[in-house]
Amino acid sequence: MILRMRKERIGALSRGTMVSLTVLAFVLVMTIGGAIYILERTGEDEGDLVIYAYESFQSYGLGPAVIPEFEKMYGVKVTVETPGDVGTVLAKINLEKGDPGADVVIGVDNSMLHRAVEMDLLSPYVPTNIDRLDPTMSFDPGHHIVPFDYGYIAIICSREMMEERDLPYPASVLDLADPVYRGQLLLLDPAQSSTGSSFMIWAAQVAGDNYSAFFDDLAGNAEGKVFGSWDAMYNMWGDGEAPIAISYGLDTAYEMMWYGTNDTVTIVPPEEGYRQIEGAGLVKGARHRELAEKFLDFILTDEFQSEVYNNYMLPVVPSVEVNEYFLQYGASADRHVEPTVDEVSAHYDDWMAAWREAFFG
Amino acid sequence: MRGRFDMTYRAKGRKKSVLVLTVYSILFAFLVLFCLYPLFLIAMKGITDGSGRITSRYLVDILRDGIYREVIWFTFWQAALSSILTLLFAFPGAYLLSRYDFPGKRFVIAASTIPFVIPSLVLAVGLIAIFGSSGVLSSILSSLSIPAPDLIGSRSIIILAHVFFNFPIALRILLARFSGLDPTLVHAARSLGAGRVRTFFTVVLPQMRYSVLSALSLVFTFCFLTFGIVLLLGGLNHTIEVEIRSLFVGLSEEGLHHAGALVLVESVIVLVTTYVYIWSSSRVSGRAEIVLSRPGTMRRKISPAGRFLVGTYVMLVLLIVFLPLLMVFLGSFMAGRTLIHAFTLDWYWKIMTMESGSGFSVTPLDSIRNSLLFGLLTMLLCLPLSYMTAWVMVKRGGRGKRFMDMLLLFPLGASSVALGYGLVSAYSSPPVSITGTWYIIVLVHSVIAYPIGARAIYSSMKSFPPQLERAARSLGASPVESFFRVKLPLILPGILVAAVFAFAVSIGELGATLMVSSEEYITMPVYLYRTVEGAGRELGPMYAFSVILMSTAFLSFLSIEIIQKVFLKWGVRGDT
Amino acid sequence: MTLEVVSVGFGYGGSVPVLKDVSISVGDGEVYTLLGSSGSGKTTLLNIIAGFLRPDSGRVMLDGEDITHIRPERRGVGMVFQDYALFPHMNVRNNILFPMKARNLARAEMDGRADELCELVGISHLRDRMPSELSGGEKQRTAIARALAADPRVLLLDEPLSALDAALRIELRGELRSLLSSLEVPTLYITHDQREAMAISDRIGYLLDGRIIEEGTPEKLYWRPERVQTASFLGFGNIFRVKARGNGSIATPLGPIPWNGDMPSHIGFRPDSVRIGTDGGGLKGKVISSEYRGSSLFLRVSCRSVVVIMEVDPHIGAGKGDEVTFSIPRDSIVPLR
Repeated sequence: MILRMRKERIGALSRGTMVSLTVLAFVLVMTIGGAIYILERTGEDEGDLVIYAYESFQSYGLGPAVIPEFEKMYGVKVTVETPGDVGTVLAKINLEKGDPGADVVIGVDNSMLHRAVEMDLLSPYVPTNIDRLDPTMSFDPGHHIVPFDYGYIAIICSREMMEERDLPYPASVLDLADPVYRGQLLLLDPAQSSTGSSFMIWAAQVAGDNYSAFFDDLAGNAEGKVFGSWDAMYNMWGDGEAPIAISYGLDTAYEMMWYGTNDTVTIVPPEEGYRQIEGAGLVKGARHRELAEKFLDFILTDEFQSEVYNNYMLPVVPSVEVNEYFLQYGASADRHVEPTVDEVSAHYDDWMAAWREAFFG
Repeated sequence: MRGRFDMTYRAKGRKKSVLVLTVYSILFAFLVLFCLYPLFLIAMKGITDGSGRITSRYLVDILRDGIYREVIWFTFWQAALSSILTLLFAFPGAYLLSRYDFPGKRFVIAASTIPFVIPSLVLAVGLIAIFGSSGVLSSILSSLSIPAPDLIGSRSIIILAHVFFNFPIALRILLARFSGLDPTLVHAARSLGAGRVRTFFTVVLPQMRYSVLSALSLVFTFCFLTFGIVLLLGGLNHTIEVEIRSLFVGLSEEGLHHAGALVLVESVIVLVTTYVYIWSSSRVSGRAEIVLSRPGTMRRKISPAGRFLVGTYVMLVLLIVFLPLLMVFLGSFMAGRTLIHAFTLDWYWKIMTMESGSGFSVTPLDSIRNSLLFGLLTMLLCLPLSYMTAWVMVKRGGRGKRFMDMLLLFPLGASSVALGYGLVSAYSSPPVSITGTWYIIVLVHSVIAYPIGARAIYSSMKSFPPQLERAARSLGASPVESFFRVKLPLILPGILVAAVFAFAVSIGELGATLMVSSEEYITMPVYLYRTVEGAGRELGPMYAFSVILMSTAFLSFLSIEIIQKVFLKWGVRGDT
Repeated sequence: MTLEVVSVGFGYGGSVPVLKDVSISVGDGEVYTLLGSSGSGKTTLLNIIAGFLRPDSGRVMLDGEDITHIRPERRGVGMVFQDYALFPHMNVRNNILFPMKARNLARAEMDGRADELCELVGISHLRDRMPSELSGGEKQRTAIARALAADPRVLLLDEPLSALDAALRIELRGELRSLLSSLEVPTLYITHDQREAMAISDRIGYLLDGRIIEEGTPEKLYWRPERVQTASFLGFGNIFRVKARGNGSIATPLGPIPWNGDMPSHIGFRPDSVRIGTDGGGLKGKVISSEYRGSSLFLRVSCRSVVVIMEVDPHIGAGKGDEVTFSIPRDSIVPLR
């Protein structure tokens, strides 16, 4: 008969299912475990000192030049993270306020410092070797940052295109509002670019109380050619999108250094120089404060200062020798119009509002 | 018959509802902790001032201030225009594809799933390769001495990208409905004397209205929440998402409040469109499934005109789907910047050998490794979440079901930028500090991905005949046994599709990742974004890196296709 | 082995219970059919026996053992589903192997038994086919073989023929009958088709509104049902209310008939028991419709205050409007209540 009765243990798992489940569980545990292990190990890679810097600190070569030096000096390991541009870096520090990931932040300049101060991101620190610093660079009486390099914000013109279009070279920032330059300008959005925000402060300083009207004229001349990042703008300028752009005082020097020719005319009006001064600061609540302070002292040493040319910037310690191309071709001014942190703090939002109104309103 | 397919054990009814309740609690705990609470924090910023008092100031600000108003308005009209254009483009195509059979039709339909898995960033890079100042188009035009319009940074390129990216989605929704239309209705109308055109407008079109609405609302939602495309291609044109991000990194207290207000406004609009989407897609009657070819429909021999139409359309579809990807691919092997240059592998070599320090403190390989691991972990975390969501959606009926479903699928319409920022700001100080960890990335990817997976699992779970489970039980299989031997294999297509989507979302996500990822856990899209930002004049590495990202995503697409092939013969299929 | 359902009551939580105090008992090797229209609660009862539902009251007993609270997989209840519920991702062989794998039988034993079962139901040549490649009849056989592979202590079949077309249904029901009667387990069969029930069962229970209102052999239910509802469901076209007249006779709409014994509330007779055109005490009526059905002719005849339905020899050739004479044999008249 085909129907047989049996008393087995029924309702449990069958062998086949048992085996597959065991294999599946094993594979799952190994995969998850493996993935987590790798990720955790990546995370443990943290050094004795954690620095947040803007990207070009590493990509232009200043970081790779000075960090190993510092590591050797103190026998420590330094981690440099470059989350993005300065704004992104500060935003990250702001987010991590409760539990800071960084000890030192590199790249806070005189157009951004007021934000960092307002948001209370930095601990003041006076380096032991502060006397080495060029006294005209100390725009921050509160010592929230230690300047490490500087560069003039400049108007750059393509010689070839200027001649081709028969344009006069601007002699002042104010000239950029001249209708003759309509459609000939590439500008930067100060909300996105720190170079752009430096330029806006510069322009506002030079224009004085009339900044609002001046921005309006600038906006009219720019005809919408306003860029979010200096890289993007510089590429477009290089591609011949327009003859005039906003850049740095060492651009001609850079061209000469790398290509030996120069098509770039770099203009820094002698009576209205604006230096972008970049500094490093001690992050509030830093976990490795002692080493961070040593690093800030290190910034003003010759070892660090002699490498800042990597950043296409100039040293802030007067005694440090400057690259000959920079000396020969770098544009500079006699009089400077940089405001103090407090002045920037007081007016920045107004300038910004006027700028946005002029350009996007 | 009442209760016929009700698997609930009567006496165990309470036990079962306890299970449903438990699953709900787990899901809501996850949702509240990692999505609703962080978003709530951000949104609160929009209606409170510095000292925590409720104020309407910031809302008034963003609605009155010219720039914010412009951002909101632009986001709105570009989404509206993009979705309408997408629909106009997809509608005739869906009609043609459902009416005509031709060789390669399966391929065209398969190709239309590609945008589901290809990150929008890659598409953006592809469009740069085509429309950029050194792109194909401008090379061709300048060789003909026609001044090339520079579209990158313009509003048109955003809309173009949105149509490119979303039209396959609309095509699939409409095609599913078109192929589910009852052909006898059309025959009936024709036999009653209605002409072809009249039949189309009075019989076919009305039956399509919910599908059209659901496609429109879905595409609108996607375009409204767009981020990567606008960030990369939009220049200074900000959508709300991009504006929110720049406010978040803008470091001004005032800006954060404005960002909060923007998030609020954005959420309200998206909530409405998501609701319209869920509502209208639930009204779509019939089987919402793409049928390749059915016997007995009104398919007829293709007339020359029809052949031309179909041919043109198919070419267009393939062009749209593949051209940007092809250009990226070609670009990655070319030594120079413009159209035709010598073949080179330099860019790949550069990526593979790039060391930390030269550019970023992480290497491209780091980002590839990270992305793969995050994709894997996101997939594994998403699967139980998606499964549980689908399960309660199937189990629970009755009142408030639509509301609960909507809540469970909420992250579909959440601002990813705000989600990322909210997560970081909610859990950045002890005792719960998850900033800069790897799991915050897995978490945020999972929050974004699990509703998509849940929908895939839901549709295959719904088509699973419950009596199979009973059959298994009556044959002596325990619940666990019958789940693994019968239910799981049969809903596997949906589960695998969910897995692939989770992986693809994780691989391609930018908005939230940009906010939460730390240096050592950089992902491929973040790396690509930075590469594009700093691309300078050398686009090669950007293309090469895009190809790597694309290939990873493409592999997941292939696996979907293979899965569908395998399961098709069992008569079950997942819904993509 | 016997299957006993004792006073089972069940409701889906609504106010109207689906099953009310249902009791049945199926003996070893017996085929018991639950007959009822859809909504009568027969599938619910099946689900209770299989363990997919728990009754609100009452018990399910198998061989004297109370299995009411035992989980489905431990009951040893083999079930053949209406649409067969074959696992679409397994071929015929693996479907049949499924219950044996679930019980961890030895490989060789499983294979032998699978072959045996395939042989039994005549699907040996289909072993490697997928369910989607099977015809309706083949699916049904596979489903039965699979249910048997679990060594069930009781076999439940839920309308196993309803998914097939009419011709195949009639062919298979004979086969099914001989297969089922060769098994030595109680078999509970569910259908809404009275012919199928007649052909398959040893005993039939008629389920109406959650109650078994009548039970008996197919012959008994066909010829001598006791309840009005049963008679009506089983094709008694003519059911009339009657009144007692005293003096040993009852009044029917067609005239008084002598009666001994208990007074019924109704009487009924099947359409095919009506004799037409015969002499002697015939009733007269007028044909209001006639329907030719091949082997017979269905007439609706208006007679006195009622309509009588009759199934007669087609050669009679009565048409609409014709006068006919007919009679009803006394022994074909069944008392109903």
